[in-house]
Parts: sequence; structure tokens; C-alpha cells
Amino acid sequence: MRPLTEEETKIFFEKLSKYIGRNIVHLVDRQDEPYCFRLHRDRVYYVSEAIMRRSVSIGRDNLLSLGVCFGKFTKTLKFRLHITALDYLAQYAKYKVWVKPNGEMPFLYGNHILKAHLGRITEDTPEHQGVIIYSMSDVPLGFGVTARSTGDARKLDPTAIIVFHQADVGEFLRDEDSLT
Amino acid sequence: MLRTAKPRTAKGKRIQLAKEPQLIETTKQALFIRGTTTSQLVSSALKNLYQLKRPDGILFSKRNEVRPFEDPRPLEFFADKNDAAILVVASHSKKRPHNLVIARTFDNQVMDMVELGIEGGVSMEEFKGQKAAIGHRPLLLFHGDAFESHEDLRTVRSLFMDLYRGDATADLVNLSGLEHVISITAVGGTEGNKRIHMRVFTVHLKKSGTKLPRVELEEMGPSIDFVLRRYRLADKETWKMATKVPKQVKEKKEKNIEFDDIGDKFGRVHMGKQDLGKLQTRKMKGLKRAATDDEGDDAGEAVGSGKRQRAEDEE
Amino acid sequence: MDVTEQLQALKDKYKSVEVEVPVPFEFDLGNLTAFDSNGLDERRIKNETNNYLKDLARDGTQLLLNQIFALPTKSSTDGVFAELPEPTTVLPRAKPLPKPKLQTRWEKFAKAKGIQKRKKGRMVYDEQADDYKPRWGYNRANDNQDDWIIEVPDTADPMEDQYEKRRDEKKERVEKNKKQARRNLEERSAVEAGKNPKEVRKAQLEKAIVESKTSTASLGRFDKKLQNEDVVKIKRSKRKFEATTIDASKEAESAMNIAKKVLKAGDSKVINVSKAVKQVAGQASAEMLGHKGKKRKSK
Repeated sequence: MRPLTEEETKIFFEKLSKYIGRNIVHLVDRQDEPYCFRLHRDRVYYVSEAIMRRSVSIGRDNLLSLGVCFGKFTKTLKFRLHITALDYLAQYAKYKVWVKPNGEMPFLYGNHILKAHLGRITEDTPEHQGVIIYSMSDVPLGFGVTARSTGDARKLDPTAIIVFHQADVGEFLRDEDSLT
Repeated sequence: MLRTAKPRTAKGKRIQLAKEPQLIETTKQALFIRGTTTSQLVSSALKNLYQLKRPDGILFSKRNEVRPFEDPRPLEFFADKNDAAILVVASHSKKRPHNLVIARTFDNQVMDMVELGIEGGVSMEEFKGQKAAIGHRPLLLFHGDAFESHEDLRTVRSLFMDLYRGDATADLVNLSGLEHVISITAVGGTEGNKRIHMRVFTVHLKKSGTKLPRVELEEMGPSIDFVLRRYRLADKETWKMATKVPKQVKEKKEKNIEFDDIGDKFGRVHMGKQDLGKLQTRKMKGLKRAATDDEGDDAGEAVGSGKRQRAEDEE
Repeated sequence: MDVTEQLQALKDKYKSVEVEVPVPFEFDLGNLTAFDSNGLDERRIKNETNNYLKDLARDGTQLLLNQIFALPTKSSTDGVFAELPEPTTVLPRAKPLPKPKLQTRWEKFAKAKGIQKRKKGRMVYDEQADDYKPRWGYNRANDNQDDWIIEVPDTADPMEDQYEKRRDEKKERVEKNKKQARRNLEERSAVEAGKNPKEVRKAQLEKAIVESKTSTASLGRFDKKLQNEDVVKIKRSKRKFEATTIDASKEAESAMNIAKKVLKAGDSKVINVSKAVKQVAGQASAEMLGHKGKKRKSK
């Protein structure tokens, strides 16, 4: 476990800002309690300082997880968000997509979101923008990247893909053993 | 520079090889390109110029956005892609009506170009009568002292010559194939007032009572009157590079060979300075040189050491 | 009638082939070109351009053809050909002179020894087939790989597979040739880049040694050493990380700085066009409305 280097922080924030924009600031600077980011086995954890200080006493091999895992760095030093970060992403989301009830299950099984399943979308969402997916009752389901901007999406036929799937809460079941 | 991938087939390799610089170059290919807007006059002139250049030219059927004097890069791209060294671009605008640009490239970079405005012309189709067959080399005539005195007109002459001289590497020409003549006349004047008249005739040979035939001409078209507009001359460095004659082609000057008036050949042979010291004379023991000079010294030592060696071996 | 009169009559019958010009033409017969540097008739070129140009062209063509017809000729079934001299006008090339190709090792050796290439025929007599076959390639002549029976030499191991031996030998020959070709290419590319091929090879080998040493988990610590082997020092930068537990406020500050930088870069990069357009349009319409409202008020 160690703090992120400057380069890693930059890469991490760049990825995060695609989903929550300026709200990264709120993650770094919290009013209630100091929180920090820690890297452990290539994974980035968001953890309160108190817990972090306590976990120092646990050996590297024995420490499985701490705080909330945001994602991991690939071997080529790119950052990949994990579904476990959804709570924070949903809280600060900049662009949102709501799926209709009939589209929930297909999305939770790892499929892209089709136009037919699109319930609502934040206005003026550009193309290739990170978005958080909600059910119609405002329950966050996952996140993805838009395939078309809101304007373009209007002209498409119902089977066209609107949002590319990246992660969904179904992974908590599917990848139970590998998620930390 | 275009991306050049390694050829996958033997044919592709041959094509690529043909595009590489050659020691002896044959006819330059020419491209005839229409700009974004053209007038009837200039496009028919372009077509006629192409017909005269056939089969060594390509007439583009689509329009292209090219402005040679503003940005030569599109031209250079076309030149590279089609392996052509001469480009003729037709365009028409309010500022420069009926405009024709003739550009020449070296190493796929535009070297020099001239812009000619068409003031009037009659296309080839409007002349009746026999036309010259495709692929025959034309005779070229350049009239006017202005060609000698003006640098820009000299470039015009050079460009027209390059465009229509045909395969200059051919050392034979069929006398019955000399069917047409391109006559280009320059009228000098002040800047923007230099005119060039282009006329093309078919040649008819009549009996003259002597061995040489009497020439009569019949106009076959096109007949175009140009006025010289802008131009860009070749810069000296590039020109020097472009006119380099390969060593293999350059004739070696034969030294010390002369011919007299009758045609007898005379050769002069130069003898190097003779070293009389090395002269082989009859060998006699008494005449052996004493071991005084360096060479002799070395030899003597070598022999001596050899003897010593042998003596040691025997022991 | 006198002979001279007869000749004169013949001459009168036809038009002359002679043309008189004040300044003689210059000819470039290799390019079938004539240069006429006589001054033009100002009046005629202005008033009767076409006729004047045609006259000029006729005279010029006559002079040019007189020269061409005076050249030595060759006749064949296709017609009579004139032998043209070399072109004299300097016209630029289309492409620069080809660069001389670098010699391969064999070519260098052959040149030094004076070995010359001999043309070899494509087809060779094959004794067994009693026929001519290609020298190389598919179905080539005298191919020892084809022998259906091979005598085992007295000195050879009787259990050795003679077929395999020949195959291996051939493979080795091919491999050797490929290696040499590769080496020639490498040397050529080095020379073209203006480097000494030997130096380049040396640098490559040294790099390979270092790489091979770093390829084991122990960085070559337990590898077998050669006698007097050079010690290769492997430099690598040390990774430096902050302590795991640092002052939270300090950490937050540095993270905040990075976040601001990232956000700033992101802002300048992406402009949400449709949103911007809407905003501007909205402002404009608001202004218009405001304007109108004022006017109404003033009324």
C-alpha cells in the first residue's frame, strides 16, 4: 500500500473527470473526515485516513482490501474504473442516462443500451462521454460511454446502441470472486 | 512523401522499381487537371493540349481544388501518385479568367511553373481535315527573339519543349511519322503584356524537284493565344540538381587522339618516366650492387637472417 | 534545249525548298526542335496574326525538315528512319540521379579478385532424366534430394539417415545464405545512415548481452560466468514513493493541485458545441426580448 505518484494521480483523475467532471474536488476535499487514495496491488482505494493508518499494521500479502476500490491500473498504466466505484460516481454524476424497466435486465447482463431501452438522458450529452446509468426509479445500475450525442440519438432507429456498457451492478454477482 | 509499403507481388515490385529514379529517363508523363471552376474555353484548351500529349498524359475527369501558386502540395501529391513530372491545371475566375498553369516537378516537388491566360483560341474539333496520329513525335518550332531575352519566356519555352518533345532517348525517327508541327511564337512586351501564340499544323510533303521535299502546312488546331501572367522560376540549386548528367552517360573525352583533315587517326602515347635503376640487364656476379642503398640493405639482412635460421635448424 | 534550261524548267515547276532568314536557325535535332531568334514583323503579327504565324511556321518547318532529311538514314520494312543526334537543349530530369547501390560483401570480393559474372543458361542437362531441366527451382536438374536410393559411404555410420543428412545440409546452406543476405542489408542500412557497420554491430551485441542478463529473475547473478567475463553494470532508476502515512492535509493539497490541472486541461480541450450554441442563442434572444421590452416601456 502506498500513495499514488503524481503521474498515477493524473491518469486516475483524468479518467474520473470523464464521469464526474469538477466533482473530483469533493472527493479530495471532504468536510466530514480526511480521505485519501491508496494504491495496493495496482488497485486504487478510496479510504478514510483513520482506517488507512490502522491498516498499515497489516502485511502486504495479508491485506486484501480497504475502503472502496475505485479501479485498477493496467500493466500499460491506464486506469480502469470498477463497478465498486459506482456509489461515488452516482453521487457526483455529471451526465446521466435512465433506462426503462424493460432495458434494466439486458444492461445488467452486460449488454449495451439500445435506443429502445432509453428512458431519459441528460440534455446536451456529447458523444463519447462517460455517463452513469440509472433505472427509472433513480437506482444507479452502472456506467458506460455514450455512442451518440443527444441530438444525433433522436434520428436513430430503436435498435441502435446509445450507450456502450462498461460496468454494471450485475458484476457483483458475476465477478464475485475477483472484485475487491 | 507517400507511404510506400513493401510490395507483396512481383508485379508490385516492378511498378515500384519503375517509380524509382532512373539513370536514363524517358518521356515525362503529364497530368491535365481541372480546377474547381473552369470556363468552356479553358477546359477545351486543356483537352486539346492533352490530345497532343497522348499517350503520355492523363486527363483528370473530376475537378480538384488546386491553386498551384498558393499551395503546390496537392499538385505534388498528384505528381507523386501518378508518377508524372508535368502538370497542367485549368481554372477560371473573375480575377484570372481562362487560366492555364503549366508546372514542372523535380523529385515530386514543384520546380517551376508559369501561368498563362487564354485570350482567344480555336479548338482542334473546329478545324477540318486530317489530324496527326496519336503518339507521333511533333516537330517543335519556337519563333521570336523574346524567347532569348526574357527569363520567364525562356521558362515557357522550356516547359513546352518538355511537354511535347516526346521520347528523346529514341535515336531513330520515322521520316514518314513526322506528321505535325507545333509552332510557338513569343511576342515580348512589358510585364503582363507578353504574348505567346500556339499553332499546330499538319505537315504535307510535296515534290520539289530536289531530294528534299517542299513543305506545305495545314492547320489542325488547337490554336491558342496566351498572355503570360504569374510565373515561378526554378531556384538555382534545384535546377543544378535537375540538370546533372550521370557519369555513366557523359561521354568520356578521349585523350590524345586526333584526326587530321583527311580523317586519319593520330594517337599520342605518353611514356612515364623510366627508372633506369630497375632496368633488367644481364646478370653477372661481378656487377652485383654493393649493399649501400636502403633496399639492398633490407634484402641483405633478410637473406642473412634466413641463413641464420637455417643454421639453427640444423643444429 | 540545254541541260541548264531543262533544270531551270524543272525548278520552276515546283516551289523552292530554300528559305532565307537573316539569322540562321538553331537546331536541336535530337528533340526535333528549331529555334528561330529572328525579330518578328510587328505590323504583320498585329494585323494578320494567323497568316503571319502560318508563314513563319511553314518556313521554319521547311528549314527543320531540310536538316532532318539530311541526316543519315536507315531503312527497314517499317519505313525510312533518320538517325538523330543527341539532344542538345538542357532540360531538367524528373527525378534526381539514382544513388549508387552499396556493394555486397561478395561483390566487393569479386571486384577485388577480378571475378566476372558469367551468364548461365536457364536449362541444364539432367543425366538421369536424359532431358533439359531448369537450373534451379521446381523440378530442377540434378537435384540430389530426389534420389530414391543413396549409397551409404564406408566411413559413415550405417544407422545414419542419409536422406535426412542431405536435407539438413541443404537447410544449412539456405540458412547461411539468408544470414549473409541479412548481414548485407544491415551493413547497407548502417552505411546509408552514415555509421560504421562494425560499430553498429558491436553496439547491437552489447545491448543484447545486457538484455539477456537482465532477463533472468536474478539479473544474471546465478548465470554461468565465462572466464574473464566483463562485468556488465545494469543501471536502473530507483523507484521513489511517498511514505504510506503522510500528513493528510498535505496529501489533499497536492491531490487538489493535480485535480485542478487535470480539470483545466479538460476544460480547454472539450467544448460542448451544442450546449454552447444553445447558450449563445438563448442569450441573444434574451437580449432581443429585453430590448423590445425597454422600447415598449419607453413608449
